[in-house]
Amino acid sequence: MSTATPPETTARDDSAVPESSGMASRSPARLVKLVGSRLLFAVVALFAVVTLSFLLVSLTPGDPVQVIAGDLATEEQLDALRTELGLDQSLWARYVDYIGALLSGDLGTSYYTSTSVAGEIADRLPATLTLTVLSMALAVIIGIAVGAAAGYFRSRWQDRILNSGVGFFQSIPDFFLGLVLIYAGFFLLGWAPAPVGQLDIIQLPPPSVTGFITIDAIIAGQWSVAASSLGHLVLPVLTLALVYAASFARIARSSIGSALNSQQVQYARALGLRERTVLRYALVEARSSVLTYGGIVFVTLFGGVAIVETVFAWEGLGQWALDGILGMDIPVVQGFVLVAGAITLTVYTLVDIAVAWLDPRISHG
Amino acid sequence: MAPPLLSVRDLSVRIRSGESIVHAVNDVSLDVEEGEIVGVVGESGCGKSTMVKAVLRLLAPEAEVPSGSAVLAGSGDLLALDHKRLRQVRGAHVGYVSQNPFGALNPIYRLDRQFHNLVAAHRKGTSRGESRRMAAKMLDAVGIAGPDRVLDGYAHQLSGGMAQRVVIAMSFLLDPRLVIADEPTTGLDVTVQRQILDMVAELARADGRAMLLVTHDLGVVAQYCRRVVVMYAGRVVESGPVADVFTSPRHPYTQALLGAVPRPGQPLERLPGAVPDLRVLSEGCAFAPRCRSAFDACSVRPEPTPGGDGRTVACHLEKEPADAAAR
Ligand SMILES: Nc1ncnc2c1ncn2[C@@H]1O[C@H](COP(=O)(O)OP(=O)(O)O)[C@@H](O)[C@H]1O
Ligand SMILES: [Mg+2]
Repeated sequence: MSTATPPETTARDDSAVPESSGMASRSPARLVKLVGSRLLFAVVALFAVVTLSFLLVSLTPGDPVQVIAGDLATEEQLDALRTELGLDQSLWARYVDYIGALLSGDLGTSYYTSTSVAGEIADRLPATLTLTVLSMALAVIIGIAVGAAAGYFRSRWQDRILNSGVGFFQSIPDFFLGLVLIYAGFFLLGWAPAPVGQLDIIQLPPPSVTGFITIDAIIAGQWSVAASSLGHLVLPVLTLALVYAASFARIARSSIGSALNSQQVQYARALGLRERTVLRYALVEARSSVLTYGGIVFVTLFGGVAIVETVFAWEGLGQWALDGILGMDIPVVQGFVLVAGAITLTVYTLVDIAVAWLDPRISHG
Repeated sequence: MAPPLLSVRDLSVRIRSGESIVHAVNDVSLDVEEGEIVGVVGESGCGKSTMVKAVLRLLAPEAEVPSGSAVLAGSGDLLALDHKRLRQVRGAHVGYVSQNPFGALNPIYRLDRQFHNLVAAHRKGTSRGESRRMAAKMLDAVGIAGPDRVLDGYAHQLSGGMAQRVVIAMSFLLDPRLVIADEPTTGLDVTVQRQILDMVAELARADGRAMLLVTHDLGVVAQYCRRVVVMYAGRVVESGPVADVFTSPRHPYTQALLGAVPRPGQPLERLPGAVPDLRVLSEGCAFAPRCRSAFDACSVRPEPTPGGDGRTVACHLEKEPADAAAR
């Protein structure tokens, strides 16, 4: 049954050598091409978001003029208001106007306060970004640590404890957690400042340079203001971070857990690599999906920040947009959708570039 | 006589699978002597991979090992080693060639780095240049032309055959006394399969390295192995010197396997009937439902019985051939 075979020396396998072996897959040229292609896509997508949001807001049933003027307004008053707001024109004419204004940086004015939407965004965005970015950073740290530990101890008691903690924080609504933390941190223990705004009521904000209160206070040398703004950040950041850390941990657990049980990690163990190295092999495999989900979690967090901003009277973008939606303040809603869309696309683009950059299997273009 | 290099005794593995328990490996015993190549054959689902993984302590958390030992000469019972000692043994004293080479290599790091991590894990302070020289030499030995290009590339750039050669190079790199290879060519192109099996067996034989080779290719077993272990339903049904077992198989399962010898490299799945469900632990001989010679006694499980000639068979026909003949 043993058939004669050629000796192994002739059985050399050079039929398939790495096609681009040794090619620097992380060359600057590759990065430029990668970023270029993703940016082009992002710009086109942003335009689509703007158009879609315009249509959505304009075609939503309900008459903003009626809402603004109130029930007692006469027909003449309504018509006058309609003309004033430009709502008597055709959809197409309004769209062209909107886009034209947008390109010159004009996002319109609020129906109610007559303030510039672009100005409001510039005022409020830093507060919301501070809140969301810090919350996200904390959520990522907690989420990855908890998720990695749970994945490492999968289906052992450590995992079960961590998992029930994760389930707990996932099941409470963020505003409720905010209220509980206010109760504990402010009323009971007294270490948190009053949960109203970004500074104490008697404090004046520092002169605006960057728009970020903490940074501006440091620039102006107002240390007590800087400290106060950090103190005010603690509770809302903790609220958002705990809720989003929980959903992040769940994702991290499953992707790191499955990476730890993947064949390549099993093989790394079989070769007697150090446990440190084995963990690193698992983490680099899980990296792409953790990054991708991180982007999604951040975008969800940004969209869901309004309620927590309201609970803490944060005067941020989310709270402002929520009021705009309730009052059918079309320019405000469109302004928010534009910002949220731009941030979403920016985050996704960055994630996309990072994933492609970090994974040699993904080719650019 | 010196004790065997690897001595597996009464090894059992149970795997939790939902509500049920899979009895994947049951009371398996086998020996690998110094410098000897031992073949392990049997249909898919007979517990070969699970047995190998249990020896290397690579089982998933769902699996448990209720009994057994696997003593490696000079290192002790692998199943009882602490993590530190286990890590030192794996890779350096026992090499492992896994079933799916693509899955075995890290997809993110360059191969050069993976070879370096391997060497550095066992020989502290080895420089990158030194580990690269070792890797290049080994890659050359496993038949890869242009090792440098391979070392600078990533796993996904390799063909299946190349990837498996790289994995083989890794498992041989630190000169282990024993290499365990689990169907090293499954999933590869049929023309490449035999080349790689020849290469790996030849490589082990040239260095006097012992090897436990799980394979479908009975031709390779006949050509390179000194002894063969036949597994069925998680048990060893027959073992002994290849020349004897292949020329005069005693267990009906071995006879069926040899009778169903397919073209080289084809899986042994052409036997009539199917491997039993290992979630139920049968009272009798697991092969009885498919056995043409089954008789009354087969409702009780036959114990593996050494025949004195180095062969062991677990079949009632051994003791009561007359009985069976009179049936
Ligand atoms: N993780 C697992 N969960 C449940 N059953 C498993 C698992 N791994 C293996 N098995 C079962 O154990 C038995 C033996 O499998 P395996 O060791 O892979 O056999 P072989 O390598 O001989 O093909 C099979 O019935 C298989 O379904
Ligand atoms: Mg197998």
